[in-house]
Amino acid sequence: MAAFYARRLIQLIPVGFGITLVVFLLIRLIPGDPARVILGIHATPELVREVRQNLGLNRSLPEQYWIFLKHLVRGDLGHSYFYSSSVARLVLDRVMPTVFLLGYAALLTALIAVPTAIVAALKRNTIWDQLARFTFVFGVGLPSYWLGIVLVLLLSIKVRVFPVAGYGTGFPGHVRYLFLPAVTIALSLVPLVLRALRASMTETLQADFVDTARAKGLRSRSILVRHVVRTALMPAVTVLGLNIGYLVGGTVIIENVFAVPGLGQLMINSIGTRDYPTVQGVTLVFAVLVVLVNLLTDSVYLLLDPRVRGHLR
Amino acid sequence: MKRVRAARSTRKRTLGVTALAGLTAAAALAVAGAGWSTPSGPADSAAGPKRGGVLKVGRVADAISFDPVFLTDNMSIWAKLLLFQLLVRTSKDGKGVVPDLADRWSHSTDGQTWTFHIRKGAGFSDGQPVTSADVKFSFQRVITSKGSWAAALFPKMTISTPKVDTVVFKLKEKWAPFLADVSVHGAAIIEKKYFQKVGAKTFSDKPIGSGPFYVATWKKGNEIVLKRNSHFWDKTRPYLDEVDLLVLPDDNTRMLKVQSGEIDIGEDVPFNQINKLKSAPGIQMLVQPYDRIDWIQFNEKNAKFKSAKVRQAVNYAVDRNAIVKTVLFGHGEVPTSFLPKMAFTDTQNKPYPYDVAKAKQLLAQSPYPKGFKTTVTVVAGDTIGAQVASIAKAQLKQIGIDLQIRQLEGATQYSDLALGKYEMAEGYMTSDIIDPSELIAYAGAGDEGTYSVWTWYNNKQVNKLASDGLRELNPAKRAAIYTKMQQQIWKDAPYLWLYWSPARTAVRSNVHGYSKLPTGNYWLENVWKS
Repeated sequence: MAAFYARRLIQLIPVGFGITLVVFLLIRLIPGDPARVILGIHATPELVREVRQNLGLNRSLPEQYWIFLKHLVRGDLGHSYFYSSSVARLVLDRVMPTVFLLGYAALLTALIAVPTAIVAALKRNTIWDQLARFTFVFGVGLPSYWLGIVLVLLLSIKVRVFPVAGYGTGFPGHVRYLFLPAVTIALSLVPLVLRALRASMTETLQADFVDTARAKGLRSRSILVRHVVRTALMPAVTVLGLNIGYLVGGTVIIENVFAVPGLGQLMINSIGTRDYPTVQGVTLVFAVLVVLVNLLTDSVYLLLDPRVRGHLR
Repeated sequence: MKRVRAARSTRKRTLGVTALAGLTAAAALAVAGAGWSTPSGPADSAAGPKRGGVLKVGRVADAISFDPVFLTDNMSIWAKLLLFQLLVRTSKDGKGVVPDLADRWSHSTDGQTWTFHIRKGAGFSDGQPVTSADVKFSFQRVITSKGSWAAALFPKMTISTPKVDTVVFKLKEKWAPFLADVSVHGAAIIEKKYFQKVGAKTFSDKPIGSGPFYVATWKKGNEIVLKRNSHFWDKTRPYLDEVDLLVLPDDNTRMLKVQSGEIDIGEDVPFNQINKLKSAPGIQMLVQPYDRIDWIQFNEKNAKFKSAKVRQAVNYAVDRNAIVKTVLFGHGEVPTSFLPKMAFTDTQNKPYPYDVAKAKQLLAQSPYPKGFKTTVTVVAGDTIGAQVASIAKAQLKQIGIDLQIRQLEGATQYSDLALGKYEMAEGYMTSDIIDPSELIAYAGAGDEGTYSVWTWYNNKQVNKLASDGLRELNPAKRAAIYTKMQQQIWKDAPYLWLYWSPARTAVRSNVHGYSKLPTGNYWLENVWKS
């Protein structure tokens, strides 16, 4: 098991290198010059030259990448062109809100999707089943920024239950402030998880081992929880894991609407201002997070399914 | 995208000045009065100011640096002006300058020797008193630092400090906007000893000034927490204990947070929400004069726009009144000059009327009688800009010009502009000072570093008038020179001038004494909450 984790973590190294190289080149391919963005309307040719030199942008690309790598190996992500701050500090300040938001959203997704799927699978093709599916499929169709604003109008302006936007302070503050953005993300994930879980539960309910369990005289509740749901969760965990991984870099809109000071916001701003070191730093952290989310997903498999554990040995 | 635009396009132009005589009169008045303009605002209460409280201000972007010499955007500038004092600063109505760090000043009859006296009791937030050495050091940095943009605002000069509270500037040439230039944010007074100890890099993060507030914490891209400077010269002010400058880039979120009372002030109200917020309970909707002009510019390096006839035709063919009415919901004016509506702006001039027949006639006389195909670049995500471009497209079609709209991400649009890789482009400028001299250098004179905002418009007569105006100390003569210059630029039409628009701010009703200056910034030492 330890070897499995070690192997997965070592995989981070090539992934990290690959992704930084691609980002390094891509960001420099888009038109726009950090020096001009910094100087704005005062950008005379002499000033532009001077700033470019200060930022080291007059060096060749391989040379710039080499310098970046050398610093990276020492754990130094470089210095932001815009904020008088190291990239590492900027990124560290931003990791928690994003991780908190995604974890919160995943939790809410599970809390909504699992019970709904159980009801839908047990009462298949009844009005409850249809209702559950249609309500949430409707949810997929709504753009998240719109849904977010509607939730704010309802729950923050009309009925003042939750704050409009922000991150809050302390754990209770985060829970309160991030509720609406987390719900907004969750509502877009619930239909996907719900469908996967409902389908696999329907299938599992008809499996022979369920009949065996019934024949053994187990209570139906215990059959449901220990045999059916546990087995049926696997595809749903895959769907959730993949989507959370995808959301790591995709919460930008939600972070903007709800003014959550997360990584997505930092990324977009840095691309806009051509803050190369920050873009590279954030991308690297994204890569690490995605790998970690996948690892976490696999860990859940291990927990749920003894057969997978057997394979590892 | 929004923030990109904010970061790029809110870059301000610095100022110039009102006429020497006008300024001196304003100063004299101010000195004769309390030496300070009295707090006033739309919601001053009879109960009088109350000490204490936290003011939360929602802004579209974060500051970048607090070093006055460093080039920055409006968000940094407006924050800086809460931390530092200037020798003199723009008055609330934008018509002159009033005392700030200096409570008195005078000048020689030739206007080339200026003496400023530092007010008693002025102190930096670390407790050190402000001395003439700090003033000299700050100005030396402005005029000698490598890459200092504000250096261009000042003539060659020597600075001396005969007394601990007296600074004398000796100018090497006549310089009409000198007093207004002194009020530019770049000339903020910093603490010499502290700066020399920590260096520029640390200073830009953790500045020390003698303004009403100091930076307690700064979470980059998120919030700046300012605390009351207890060493401020006026012991009764500021009234507030703390000011939080919050980054809220999404327009809807910012406005909703003011409505719910989570923040006290929401800046940059979108035009389509002004009327709604006017009737919202608990909110004062401030619509105030702002030195800003928006335009679509022509690249004169491109053959299509070399002829003034073509540029004039475009100016006749676009209905600016319709744009103000539909896009700005009536909150704006059609310009009569290439400058914002400020000192020396020629308001007697008539805007180009919407006259399709005249436009067609002008185009017929140009090298492109049948019209042509061209493009306009717009910053992606800028909804106002996109709407303006669509209206222009529809109207230019009537005279045979086929306008394609190219939406570009902010930094790209700007970089293409400066490289001359565009045909037509949307843009705007705002002013940091009340004199137009620097905007003239930026957008009018073709012999300056920015080639008239990279239109490469270059009229020798205009350049000469700009230079003469800078050195003419008689306000009436100076006004005559600038009027002549504006009329020439108006005829040459290097821009399609769109509108002058106001500053829009949503303020909670329990906030008193808040007001925006035409330069876009605000003083907070007079603000209090009930």
